[in-house]
Amino acid sequence: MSLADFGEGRSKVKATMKRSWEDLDGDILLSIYARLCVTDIILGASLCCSFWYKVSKEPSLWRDVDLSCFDFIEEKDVSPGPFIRLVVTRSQGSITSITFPLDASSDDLLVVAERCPGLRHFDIKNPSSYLMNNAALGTAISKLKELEGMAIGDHFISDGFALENIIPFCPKFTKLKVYDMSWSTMWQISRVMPQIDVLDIS
Amino acid sequence: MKDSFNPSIEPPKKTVTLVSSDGYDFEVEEEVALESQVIKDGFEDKAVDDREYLLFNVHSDTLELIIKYCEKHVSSRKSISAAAASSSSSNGEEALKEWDEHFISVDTNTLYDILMAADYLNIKSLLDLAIQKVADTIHGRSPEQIRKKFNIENDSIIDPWASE
Repeated sequence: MSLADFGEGRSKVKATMKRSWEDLDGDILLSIYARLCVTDIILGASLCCSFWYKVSKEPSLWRDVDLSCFDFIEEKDVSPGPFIRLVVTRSQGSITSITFPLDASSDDLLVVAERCPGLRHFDIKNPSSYLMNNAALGTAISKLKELEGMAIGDHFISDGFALENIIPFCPKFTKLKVYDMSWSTMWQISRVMPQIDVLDIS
Repeated sequence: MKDSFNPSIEPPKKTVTLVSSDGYDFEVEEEVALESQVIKDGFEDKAVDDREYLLFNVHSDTLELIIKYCEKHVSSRKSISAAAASSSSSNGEEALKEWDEHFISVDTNTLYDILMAADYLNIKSLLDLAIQKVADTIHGRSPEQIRKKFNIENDSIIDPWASE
């Protein structure tokens, strides 16, 4: 007997049954969230109903956040600053690693440094120096005692100011990645940061 | 001993009976049923003539799909390893991936039923497939579009700006 033989005459009760996506098992919903980018969770799924919102506050979802997905949204209802604040609020400060969107500003970096004291790694590619400055970077670093590494555009550290803050404030710091590194920056690094284990200049 | 030299005589295939929530019996080969981790756990302890499983949470419509999925995966695994053993080239894994994709392209009600059944029966690869499908369906959609797609009731006005 093949499976097709079972299909005849069965009740059709099920066709009208309500499927409760809003009461989905929390662990299943978390697995779904784990496969979505941050924008899909923050601006989409979590705003559907109260249960989906509640599940989105699970701290484990927010340990490692990559906000570069924000750069690829074509029509944005929200600008980078408020978006980053939404993420920080939802994480309840549990972020340990963050990649900033391209248009992140000094204020955004300071908000993250202030509200996520366990931050171990951040990545700022930001090609423009209009939005973010070296002083803000230095201040942020001074608040991040757990910082172990960062990836950053060359112009933020070429004057050595931010790097000098790492030594007294971030005892665990060992990994540095520099986008488009110049010779003068390399010289600064060798001068102020002899303890670097991993220097990535790709 | 003699039998083993005669390929035309095979031992009868062992089967298991799965009973759906609406009372239909499905007789499937043992190895197909064993795709479910729940059935696999404790399977050896069950008497051979008592291998019947009442699946209270799985409707016959869904069970039919689940069995189809498990049968396909058991047979594909065999042909993939046979191809590997004879070191002939095979696109078996690629073909199975395509089959999976087609299999899971269903409406959201059916997707929900498959998701629940895969979770209940603990069929990990199917659960992964269904979870990925839900994620793909959510991707790029606004809350309103997601509610509509999954028929979710907006039970409260959420203020994402409210601090914790």
